[in-house]
Amino acid sequence: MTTMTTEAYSNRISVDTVNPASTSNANASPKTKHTSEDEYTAGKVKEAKQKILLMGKSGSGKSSMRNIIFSNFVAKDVRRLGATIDVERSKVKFLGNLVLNLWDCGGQDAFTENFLTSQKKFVFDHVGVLIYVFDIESRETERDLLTYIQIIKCLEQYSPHACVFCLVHKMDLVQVESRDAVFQERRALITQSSRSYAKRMVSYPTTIWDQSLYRAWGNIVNSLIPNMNVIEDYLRHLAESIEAQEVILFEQSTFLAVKHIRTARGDGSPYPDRLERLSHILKTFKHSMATFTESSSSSHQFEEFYISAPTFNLVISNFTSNTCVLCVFPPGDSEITCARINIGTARQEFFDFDMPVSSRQRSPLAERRSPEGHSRYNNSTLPYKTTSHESQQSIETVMSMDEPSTPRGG
Amino acid sequence: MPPTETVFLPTTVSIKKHMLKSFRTFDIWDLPGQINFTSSGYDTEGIFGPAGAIVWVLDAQDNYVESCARLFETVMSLQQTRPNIKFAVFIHKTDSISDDYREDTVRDIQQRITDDLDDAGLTNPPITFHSTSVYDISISEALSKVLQLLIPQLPTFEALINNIAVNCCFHKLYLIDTLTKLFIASDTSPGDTASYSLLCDWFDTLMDLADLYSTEGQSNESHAISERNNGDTSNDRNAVNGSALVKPGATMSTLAPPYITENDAHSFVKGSRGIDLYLREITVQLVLVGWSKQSGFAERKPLIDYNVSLFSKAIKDCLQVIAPDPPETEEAQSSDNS
Ligand SMILES: Nc1nc2c(ncn2[C@@H]2O[C@H](COP(=O)(O)OP(=O)(O)OP(=O)(O)O)[C@@H](O)[C@H]2O)c(=O)[nH]1
Ligand SMILES: Nc1nc2c(ncn2[C@@H]2O[C@H](COP(=O)(O)OP(=O)(O)OP(=O)(O)O)[C@@H](O)[C@H]2O)c(=O)[nH]1
Ligand SMILES: [Mg+2]
Ligand SMILES: [Mg+2]
Repeated sequence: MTTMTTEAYSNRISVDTVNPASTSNANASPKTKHTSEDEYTAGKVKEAKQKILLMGKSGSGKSSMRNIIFSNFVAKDVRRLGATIDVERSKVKFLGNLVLNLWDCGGQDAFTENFLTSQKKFVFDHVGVLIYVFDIESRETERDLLTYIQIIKCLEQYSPHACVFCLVHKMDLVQVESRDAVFQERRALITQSSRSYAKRMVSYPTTIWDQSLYRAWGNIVNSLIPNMNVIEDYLRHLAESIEAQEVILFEQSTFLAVKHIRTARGDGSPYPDRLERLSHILKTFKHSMATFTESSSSSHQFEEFYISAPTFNLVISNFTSNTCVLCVFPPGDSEITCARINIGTARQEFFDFDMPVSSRQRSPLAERRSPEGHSRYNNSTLPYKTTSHESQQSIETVMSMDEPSTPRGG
Repeated sequence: MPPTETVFLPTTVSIKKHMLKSFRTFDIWDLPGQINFTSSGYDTEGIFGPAGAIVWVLDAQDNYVESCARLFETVMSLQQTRPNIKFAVFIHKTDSISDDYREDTVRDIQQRITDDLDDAGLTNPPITFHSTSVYDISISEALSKVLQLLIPQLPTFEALINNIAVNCCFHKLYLIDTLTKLFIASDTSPGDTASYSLLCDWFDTLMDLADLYSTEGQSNESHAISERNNGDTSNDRNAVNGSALVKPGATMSTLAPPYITENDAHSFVKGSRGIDLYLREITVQLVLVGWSKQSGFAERKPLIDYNVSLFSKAIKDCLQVIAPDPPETEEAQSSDNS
């Protein structure tokens, strides 16, 4: 088989650093590869403890971002949001077994004062991640940084292992040419104020008006996903079976990229920002569909989406109940058919991902529940290849296979 | 250009000519709104002579009475010399009027103009009215209708599209221009803006995705439709009859592969709410897009593909017939901002 390369996100944090609880766990040697069992337990612990603080000055755009990413708002709707009172807590389910416990903290001075004094322990205990938002438009940079330092001090006291992300927000208000310079300057100031987190702190320029939002949040959420190597194994297997140049797993409701695999078949010069662009493009399309069907845009809008172009094929398909997968592979109609069958098979393998490990089954596909009448594919192992003639005959079968066999786990 | 940036456009001071290259070329002339071209001293014949249609833009936000009067003058003076020119009145910037008030404004303008022309003895004026705004799809929809006024083969296209729509259970089908997203024909079921808007958004999505992954840049290739100088339009009929559509009941084995050629880009979305989207490239400039809520639509896709191939061939035949545009159809666009 062809060799494959994976581009890891530059700032992924291992499970152990994110969650102090799991370091003290039974996982004695972090060097050895975790078994799936351990991964799952780690996930469980995280579920109970993970807390994400969203802080920053009032009006800096915290609730705006939260609602666009997790509640399917469109960017122009956020003007209607009022200031957050005290703390708005929400639990966001991500990938089935990861629950993000999001604390959106109102940024008005009175609330901030409380967080730093009487509610200190309550707020800063058991924090997994702190996301601090700076408003680029703010005229009191100095004061903003002083508040940030105070917050950081509290965090050091109660959750020294927390991850810190700083978002320099509303970058759309800065002229395009000077954006990078302005951001670098601000980043330097923030780093200086980050005390013991200075080395680990990661910052991003963001605006709700373009894909930069998805880049930042995609990376933040990715740092929290526990069993990434298991996911990677599955996707690599799938990528091989359909000879894809790229396979990307998206979380279904946020369209944040969870993991991507790029194989050597790709042309070596992909757009570096394609993951966040894809999130942006697909979420926009989802909104169009929701407007048309007059349904909530947080619900599923499509099951399968494919493009067959002269130079490439692209299939986006529901995968587990919480994810969908995007595959890019060489052109041709038989390739599409073949890919759809293999995605269907991989879906079966993968869907146990949301389930307890003990019931997980890798290939061979012993436990596949295929509808009757399609026994032809029951014993197929990846990859399933077709000749172009055969593919035409099988299209109908494949189509009807999709619906009943789509697992709704979780 | 995003609509919010139109604020920075300078006022037009001289006639600007734009070429709209699609399966045929349309010339668009942007006329300054501050000059009255029908008054003596202007080369009326030179400006309006070659025009096929005139788009008259009324600012619905503004006091439109004066503009209506000037439209009236223009229509009357051109009716004498060039009775074939069609007028399309765009009641523009309707986004800035509140919902309840909008319909009243549109009705008022329409009433005013037809009444005036009626009084002047023009009972059936060649005028259509459209309420438009650059902030939504309405401007594209209205411009599409104007283009269609200038396409003599429209009935043929519509017959072909209707045929496909009925046989393949599409609820709405458009033949859209890939560059502008204007539709040059659609099936003749009552049009609705929501369908057009969704399909345009989807088309944008596809273009964005293609932009990320088609390194060869297939959509920017040069693409001259073969020039065959043949003014004979009787072939159009044959094209309709020639497409022997397969009914959905037919079995797969009756279809001879390959029914999709490698080069025709196509796309499909199986929606979660029973809405399926279908797209197929016909030529580099034209794509067929549509949606259906028929259950089992996705399962029947191979048959639909087959039918669309036949449709595609018929359209291509038509285009070859009309490819040379000798009597050049041009379109003058007169803007009026009074
Ligand atoms: N220009 C611009 N404006 C933004 C952006 N993000 C948010 N805003 C605007 O900022 C305003 C305040 O946003 P919120 O999300 O309510 O602010 P917040 O941080 O939650 O404020 P508190 O709840 O008071 O702490 C809203 O009117 C948004 O329209 C952005 O990226 N660019
Ligand atoms: N609200 C709203 N404003 C619009 C719309 N279309 C155009 N405008 C604004 O109207 C102004 C004038 O637009 P132009 O296109 O330059 O007008 P014009 O008709 O070409 O004017 P002349 O060149 O002087 O004849 C700009 O500030 C646009 O932003 C619309 O649909 N809604
Ligand atoms: Mg808020
Ligand atoms: Mg102008």
